[in-house]
Amino acid sequence: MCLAGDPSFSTHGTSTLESGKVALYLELRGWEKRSGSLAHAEPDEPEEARRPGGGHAGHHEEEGPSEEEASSQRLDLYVAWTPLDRLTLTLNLPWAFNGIDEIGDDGRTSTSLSGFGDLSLAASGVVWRNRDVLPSTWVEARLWGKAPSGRDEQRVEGERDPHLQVGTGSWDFGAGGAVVHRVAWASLYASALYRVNGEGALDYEYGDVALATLAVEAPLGHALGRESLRWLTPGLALDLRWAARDRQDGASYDDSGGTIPYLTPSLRIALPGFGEGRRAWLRTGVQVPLTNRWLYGSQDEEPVWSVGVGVGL
Amino acid sequence: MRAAALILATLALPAAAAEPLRFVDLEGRAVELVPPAESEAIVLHYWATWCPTCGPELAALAQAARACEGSEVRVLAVDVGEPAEQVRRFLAERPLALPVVLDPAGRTWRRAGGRELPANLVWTAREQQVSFGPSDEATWRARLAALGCRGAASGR
Repeated sequence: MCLAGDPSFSTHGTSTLESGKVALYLELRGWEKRSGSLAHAEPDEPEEARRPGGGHAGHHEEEGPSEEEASSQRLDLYVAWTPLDRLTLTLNLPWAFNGIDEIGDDGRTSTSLSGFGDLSLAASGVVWRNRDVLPSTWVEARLWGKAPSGRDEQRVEGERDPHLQVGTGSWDFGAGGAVVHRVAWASLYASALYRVNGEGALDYEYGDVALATLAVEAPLGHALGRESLRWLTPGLALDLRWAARDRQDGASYDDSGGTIPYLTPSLRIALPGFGEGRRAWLRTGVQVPLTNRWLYGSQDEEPVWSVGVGVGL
Repeated sequence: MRAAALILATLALPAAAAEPLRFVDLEGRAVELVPPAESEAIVLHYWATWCPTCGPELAALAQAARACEGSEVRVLAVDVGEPAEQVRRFLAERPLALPVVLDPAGRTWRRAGGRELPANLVWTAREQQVSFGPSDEATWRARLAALGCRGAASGR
C-alpha cells in the first residue's frame, strides 16, 4: 500500500532548514487495510493460476474469492541536510513490519515479514522566495527517487506475497513541488508529487501515484496571542492520493488503485531544553479516510496513525 | 509587562572567543565591531522593515537609549537581510535616533542563533546574551540601566 501525505510536511512542517543544518526525524506509523486477496502463485505457474484480484492461486486454488487484511507498521528515519542555501536533501530509511491475514473458506491464515525497506532520497530546491532571510512565501521544486534496497522476494510458508515484502524491488521516481505562505496567525502549505513506479520483484508493479496535500499550521501562541502556548502547533491537512491499478504479470490487480482523500489533524509540540539554535519536537497525527468509495474494486482503508520525534542540529 | 514576557529565550554565550562582527552601513561601507572592553557593552537590536512589531519597538528602543548617551553602552539597530535602499526608504518615513547598520545575509544574526525577528544581542566582555521577541520601552529602560545607562530606568 502506498501511503498518502507529504513526508516533507511531516518532517519539517512549514519551517525551512538553513544552510549547513541537519535535522533528524523518527516517525512510527501504523495502518490497516482490507482488500480482495492477491494471487500467490510462483512465476512459473500457469497464468490462470495466478490471476490477481480474487482468484486465489497456490494451495488455495480450489477455493472461491477470498479477502486479505493487511496490518503494517513502519518506522521511518528521515535525515535532512541543507548543504547549500535553497537546497535540502532528505534521506529516508524505513523499517517495516507487514502482516497479512488471509480470510478464506478454510479460515484465517496469518503471515508477516519485517526488515529494512527501500531507501529513498528527496531533493527540494527553493526556486522562488519573497526574501532571503525569514521568507514568508516560497516555492519549492522537488525530485524523489527510491532504490530497491529492501528484501523483496522472501518466502513465508512456501509463498512469496508481493504485498508482504518489505521492499518492492523497483526503482521509483517522482517530481513535484510545494508552496508555503505565512500569514500572521498561520502557515499555509500546498504540495503535489507524481510518482512513477517501475516493475518490481515477483513480477509485481505498483501503480503510479499522484499525491497532493493542502495544510494549515497555526502556532497557538501567535494565533491566540498567548506566549504560554507557543510550544503547541496544531495542524490540519487534506491529503489526497490517486493511484493507478497495480499490475502483476501484465494484468491489472482489480482491488488496487483509485482515489482516497484523508483529513489529517496533527499536533506538533516543541520540546524544551535545546538551546543555541537547536530545536526538538514531538509530532503526532492521524490520517482519517474521508471515503473509500473512490477506491477501485474491493478495498477498505482504516485511519493511519503516526507519532514522531525530531531534532534540528 | 506582557511585552516583557515575550522574551522567549535568552542564551548566554561566552564572549571569550568572540570575534569582531562585520556589518555595512547605509552607504555600503564596512563597519566592524570589535569585542567590548571590560566596562563596555554593545546592544545589537536585529530588525527588518517587513517585521510588524519591529517598527514600534525601534521607536521605544530609541527613546530608552537616550539614557545611554555619554555612557559606555552602544546601541545599534541592525537590519537583517534587506537592501540599503529599502531600509533608507523605511527610515525616511520613520526617522530613527539610533545608528543603523545592515547585516545583508543575516550572518551575525544566524551566528547568534537567530530564528526570528526581532532579536537582541547584548555583548559584554563576559558574554553574549541573545533574546527573541519584542520588548516595550519600560523593559528596554530596565535592561539598559542594568548595563550602565545612567538614568535609563527612571526615563530621565
